[in-house]
Amino acid sequence: MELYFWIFAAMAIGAGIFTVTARDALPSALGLLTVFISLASLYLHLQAPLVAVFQVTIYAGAILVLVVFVIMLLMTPEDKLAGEQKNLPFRSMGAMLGGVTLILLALGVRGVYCMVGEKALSDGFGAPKLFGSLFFNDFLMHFEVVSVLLLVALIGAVYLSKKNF
Amino acid sequence: MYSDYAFSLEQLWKIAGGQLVLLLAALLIICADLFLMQKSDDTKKASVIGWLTVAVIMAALLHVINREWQLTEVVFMGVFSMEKYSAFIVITILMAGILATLFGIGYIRNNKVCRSEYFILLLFALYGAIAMVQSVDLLMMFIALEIMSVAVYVLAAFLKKDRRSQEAAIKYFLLGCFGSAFFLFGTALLYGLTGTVNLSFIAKVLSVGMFERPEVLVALAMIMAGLFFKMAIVPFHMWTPDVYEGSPAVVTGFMATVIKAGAFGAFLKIITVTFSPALAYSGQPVFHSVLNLASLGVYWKAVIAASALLTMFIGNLVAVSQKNVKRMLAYSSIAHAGYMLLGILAANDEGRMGVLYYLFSYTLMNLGAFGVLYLIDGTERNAQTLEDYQGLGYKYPVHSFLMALFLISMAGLPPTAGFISKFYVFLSVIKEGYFVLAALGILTSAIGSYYYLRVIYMLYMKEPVREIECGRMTLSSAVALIFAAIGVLYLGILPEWLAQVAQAAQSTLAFVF
Repeated sequence: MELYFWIFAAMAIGAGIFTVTARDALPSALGLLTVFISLASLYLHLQAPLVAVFQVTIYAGAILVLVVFVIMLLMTPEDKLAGEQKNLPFRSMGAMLGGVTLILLALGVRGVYCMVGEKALSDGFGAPKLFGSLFFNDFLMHFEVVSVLLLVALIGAVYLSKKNF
Repeated sequence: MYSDYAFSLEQLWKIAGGQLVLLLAALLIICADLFLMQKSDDTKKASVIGWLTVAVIMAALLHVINREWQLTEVVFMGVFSMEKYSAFIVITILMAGILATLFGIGYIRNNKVCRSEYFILLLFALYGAIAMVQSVDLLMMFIALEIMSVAVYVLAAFLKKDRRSQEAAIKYFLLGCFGSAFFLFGTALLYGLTGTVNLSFIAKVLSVGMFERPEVLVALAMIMAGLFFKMAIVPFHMWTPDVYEGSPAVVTGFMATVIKAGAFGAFLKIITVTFSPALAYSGQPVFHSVLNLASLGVYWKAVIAASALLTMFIGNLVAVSQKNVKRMLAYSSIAHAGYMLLGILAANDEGRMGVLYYLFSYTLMNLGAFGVLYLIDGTERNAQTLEDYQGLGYKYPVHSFLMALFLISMAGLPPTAGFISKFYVFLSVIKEGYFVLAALGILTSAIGSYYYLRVIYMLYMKEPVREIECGRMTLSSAVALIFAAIGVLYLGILPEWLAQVAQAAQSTLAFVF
């Protein structure tokens, strides 16, 4: 099982690096797809099949299709991202900041592991049934309020994109 | 752990009634905008909807004052709480909402963008802000934070044809997402460590053993980074000047008050309930171990002291060199966040009371100043520089007097609310023994008065350089300005009443569970 984790973790990181360094928009989007798929595999490994399904349907399905459509509508095949990637000082600063954040995160995650330790999962962990019962009992309010968030985003998008106001 | 919280509509109405009123009204106003008034012209329609919005927020405000102020120790499903502390900040936020709506009615008319989306988005932003302050649950706090932020991102781009407004919105959006992500990461870490997202349960689990581990500090650091971004604390302030300058003036006033009040309210709640021993004073034996959390203060107080000092200095020093009054007010709002942070740093009764008092009076003076600014402006970016303000004192005595009043209050001179609020926060840090910090803070306040008084000097003691035509003063703006001006003077002369209310409000923070 360890091997399974390392394969998909390496795939996710490799594809992630490819996504941000690719010179063309479309390969970059496909790199992102690879990241999504490998993450979904990792969720499966973590006994969270439902999250894995959501990852594939929502991210790899809906969001990536949207990204590809935007690329199709806004960019001609001659457009390259290379021109946008020239500002080396800013990019290296960003890389440094990203590295520090990564260390901070790793510290946090390692700590969670040290403190919580290895525990046997409870019965039915990650199963859709348990997920649903948590979702509609303990997190009912959150679920309802998220719908307001979507509504606000929708109103905002309509206002900003409607042309003749 | 959550099982004893059952859903009950009556309980929801009691505790989150203000939110429900706003939400329902926003949905109804969307329909009214669509179906009811298609024939009337845009200007009239927008002002009718504007006044309707004012009435609705007033209703929510009355509900909060009447019913929710009386409640104590009430938590709904482990998600929303309504003790006096939340009620106080909710009242502040709703008051800011009313003022921003009243100014908005005039603003959209002067700038010829008569769209009722302004009021709808404003209602949703208010809803998000009060849901965030009321929540006792990190996940709900995050969702509410996002509702508030998304509505304000769109409001920042409200002048769709203006490039600066678009730039402000995209900058705010990108950096805002970055900030929120930090908050979410911190929440996830705390959830992983403790197995709950409820503030008081987190405190309880942390207090038995794991509180001094570095990972808890990483989580706290991430939550602080996310909220400091919204509060515009140095070093998370980089977006503030551009966004505040680019957004429509009234939206800037709204951002500088409502978002700040929401973020400060949530931050004070998190830091007091989860990372300090406050809950132990509630007398509940379950929370006795929370006393241990006092030792966490060593870590977060050092960080807050440093950022408060930097915020006061950078905000005030950079504001001195600004030529544009709106941009100057942006830097001044950074500086004010620094003063409020002092009250959180003190972490005593006076400090928390000072923060609440400061938020309330800051809302009045800052929104008032932006209200005058938009009136003098005429249309956005018409007359905003110091040069344009020269000699306006004789041509527009009322505008100039009000501007001078609000700026004197921001500078912290008596007899205005700004003086009393600064007095309370400095008093609280001196009481905790931060003498050097308090002295440096008072020094920055002196630097601040230079650039505030410079505007007044320009208004009254210089010859006009060019002809300035102020925008039309609508009834709504007049009402809002009179209210803000009276409030600023009243709180400066008779502060005891609000101070007592704020004192009562802060003392209920120990009962959030």
